[in-house]
Amino acid sequence: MTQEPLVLVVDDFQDNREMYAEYLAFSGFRVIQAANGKEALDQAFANRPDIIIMDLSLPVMDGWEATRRLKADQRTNAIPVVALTGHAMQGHSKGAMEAGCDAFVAKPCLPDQLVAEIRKMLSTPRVSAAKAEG
Amino acid sequence: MEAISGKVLSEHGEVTAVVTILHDRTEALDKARLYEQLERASQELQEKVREATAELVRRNELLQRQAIELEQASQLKSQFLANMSHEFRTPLNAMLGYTSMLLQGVNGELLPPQMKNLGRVDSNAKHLLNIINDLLDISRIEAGKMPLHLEQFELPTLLGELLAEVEPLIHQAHLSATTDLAADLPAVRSDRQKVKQIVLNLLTNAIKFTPQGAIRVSAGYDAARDEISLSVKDTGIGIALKDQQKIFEDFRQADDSVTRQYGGAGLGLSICRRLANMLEGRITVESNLGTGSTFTLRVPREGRRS
Repeated sequence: MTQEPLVLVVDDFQDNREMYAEYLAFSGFRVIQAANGKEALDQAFANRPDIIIMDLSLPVMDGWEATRRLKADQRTNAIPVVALTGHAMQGHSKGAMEAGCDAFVAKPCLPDQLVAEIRKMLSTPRVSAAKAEG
Repeated sequence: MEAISGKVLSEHGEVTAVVTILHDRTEALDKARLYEQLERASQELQEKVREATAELVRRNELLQRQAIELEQASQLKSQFLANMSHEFRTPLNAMLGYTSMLLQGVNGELLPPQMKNLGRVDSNAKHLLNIINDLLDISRIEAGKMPLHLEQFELPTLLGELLAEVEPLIHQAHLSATTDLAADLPAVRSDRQKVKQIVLNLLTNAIKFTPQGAIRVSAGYDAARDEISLSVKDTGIGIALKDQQKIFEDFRQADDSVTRQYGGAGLGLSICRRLANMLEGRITVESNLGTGSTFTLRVPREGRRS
């Protein structure tokens, strides 16, 4: 039996992070968490998740920088990164795509919407980065 | 008076005569005085012109500074709204998310009254989110950060989606809704999402302000102007002529007294007007108190701006 996909949820706001983690677990995913960009890199290199949900405004190291580093490293550059942010200004989605994010989801994002997005990302073979839009 | 004297001497050096020439200089002195006065007046005038010019320069600088300050204040306001909207979204995300999880039974089945009350939490949180989104839209448009995406689309499909979206509201309000599509509707090239946002707003307004009766949505094409029109007609409370311009301003409603009957931030139509401008179009209203209103959006069939 193949293992359920492993999702890394990166968000500095505990309530949101644990909410997504709980719902993802409820929906049958395995979940690991990180509260900033630095932790996200450590978790990603150590556990090689199948997909990363990345908040962008993070302490220590922000989501853009973390994504750039993940995409620059051959151990992690194939892992799809879904940017998730409450900043709905246009520049944010653009910046996220430039950093290498594969999709952009605006908060508020209900847990079931996020799961739907994750399932979609995992089921589509990745042809090229930067297609979805905020 | 000026006098010039000279002695006339003999061969031996004796004075034989003294000649005195008297010269009346009154006129010359008057002229000199006048000239002096003129000179003084001219200097005073020059001084006044210099002062006035300096004052003008000072005022110009002040105006420029004020214009810059106003511009900065407006940008700060937009930035503040954008930041606040983000600050609001973070906790709202958790409120909406946990509510949705509870409603889905993630933490166990709920009793019907629990479901009902949680449903109210959910709809109120969504309402709050809509207000925040409206504020964000205003600040985005003002900051020039609302992008335009022109694409080709068909009006009947769009209206179908819109009616499906408001169907629950229409049902809840015990109203009926009909559509009236002109036969010659061409495909449109515009920002589909914005056209949809405008008409959705007009529709939800129509539902909100119509206690009973019907909503009629029509789509037409004006070949002469090469414009499409989308109208939402209701049988609601109507708007007095004096209030018909006011309702398109920020934070205004036809009745903006503290005792007003209908809630809302008063941003919907102001956003619609701004969005219509972006689409090179306009919104007009025809209404009579007590008999209902018709709001019409007109946009070019072929949008050029992008």
